[in-house]
Amino acid sequence: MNCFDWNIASSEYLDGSLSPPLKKAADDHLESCADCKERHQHYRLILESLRSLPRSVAPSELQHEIQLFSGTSRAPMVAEFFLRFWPTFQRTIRSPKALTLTLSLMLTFALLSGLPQIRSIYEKRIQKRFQSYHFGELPLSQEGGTSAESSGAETVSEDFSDDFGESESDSGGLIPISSEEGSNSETVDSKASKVLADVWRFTIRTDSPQKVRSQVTQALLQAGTLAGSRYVHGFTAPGGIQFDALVPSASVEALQQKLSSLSQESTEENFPTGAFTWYRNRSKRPLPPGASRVIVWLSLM
Amino acid sequence: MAISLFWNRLNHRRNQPRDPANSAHPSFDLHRQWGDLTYDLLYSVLWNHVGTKTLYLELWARIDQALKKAEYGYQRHSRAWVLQVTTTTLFEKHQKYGRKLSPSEQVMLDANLNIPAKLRQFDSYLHKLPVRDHTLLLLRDKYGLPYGEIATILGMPEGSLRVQHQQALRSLQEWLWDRT
Repeated sequence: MNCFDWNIASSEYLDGSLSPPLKKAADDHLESCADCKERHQHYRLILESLRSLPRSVAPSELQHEIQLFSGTSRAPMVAEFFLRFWPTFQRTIRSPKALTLTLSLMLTFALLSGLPQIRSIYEKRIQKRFQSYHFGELPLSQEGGTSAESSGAETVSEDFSDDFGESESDSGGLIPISSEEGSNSETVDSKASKVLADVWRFTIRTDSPQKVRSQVTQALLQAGTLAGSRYVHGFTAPGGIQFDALVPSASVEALQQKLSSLSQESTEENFPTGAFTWYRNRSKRPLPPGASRVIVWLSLM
Repeated sequence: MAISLFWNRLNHRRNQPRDPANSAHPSFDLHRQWGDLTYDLLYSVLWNHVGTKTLYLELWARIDQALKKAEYGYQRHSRAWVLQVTTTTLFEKHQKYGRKLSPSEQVMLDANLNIPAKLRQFDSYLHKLPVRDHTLLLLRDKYGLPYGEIATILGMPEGSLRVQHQQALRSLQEWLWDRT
């Protein structure tokens, strides 16, 4: 055995786990090599120092704290927090009165700090209810077979009708329009409220909405607007003019063609392509039977 | 009245530690068996009383949580299981809780030429080792654990462990003797 071999085998030699022939070879090498013998002595000293290191015992208060929380279902962070602050808490609050006062103060603080959040949740809930009652609409994709109808059409998100309430008195506001079906369809029966109503949305992009406004009104009147139409003459909103009318479902296609031709007329002057888009969805809001809601948006953008 | 009862109940629970004979949860037994060993290992490596206490509480909270997932390993080889969690926690947290040698201590350790004085500061030299080597030496030579168990605890092959042990001894030997 040479020095290199002894270095490799020194760990087993120190453990006493070398086989007898190897152990004898290692002993012979240590007899002959002073360096390895010295190193072996050093290793022995180190191991003895390690074995004689003092052992510490866990403090009894820690044992007690761990026994308190071991086996319980609390999260470790909660346990740590509790263990860390519980003695202070116990020293500070010495009577039930002090505990009551502290708890009431904490409750007040929690209420005061939580009030804005509670208020916002309350407001959001009211807003959601209001929207679902007045403008509650479902996209066509929720209906099984009708989603294919809207897949080809470009969806348009501009619609400012939500910003205006029922009582809004605009220049183009509610006007009584008599039609053949109008007298019968003013009252909405309970069955109609359960059926989802069609809502058609047309968007015409144009540079001059005011010029097209009268033509759109005329097209809507020709389609046969029903009572309950809110903005047949349109109202001016930021970014354009919006029309909101109830028309018989049968005349929607004719109205669509009319609006499409209108947009083509305006396109020649202003926009090259894509000036007319439309899509249809369903609304929870009750409509008279046989009627569809038509929203036309003359958009500047 | 209700608050008073609640308060008394809390104090009562605090002042009445559990009876070890009636302990139902395994973490209680594990802590009774290996609590001192884990504390000593943590203190030997961290060398910091406050950090050791904090990490000790954290460790046993972690063991308490780990017991919910463990099925039977902790029953058959409880020491290896507890030490495995301990060493994992220690390697993660020793930077946060461990004491670091100050520059003056470092200079003193390097400059001291007297071997008996160096041996008296054996703790400091041990603390200079990397944390894995330090833990390995403690497990092997202070607590006398077999290599197979240490291999399980540290997640290493036994041969690599022997080499690492040898390298750690060699480092200590160089620091203590070869620079004189």
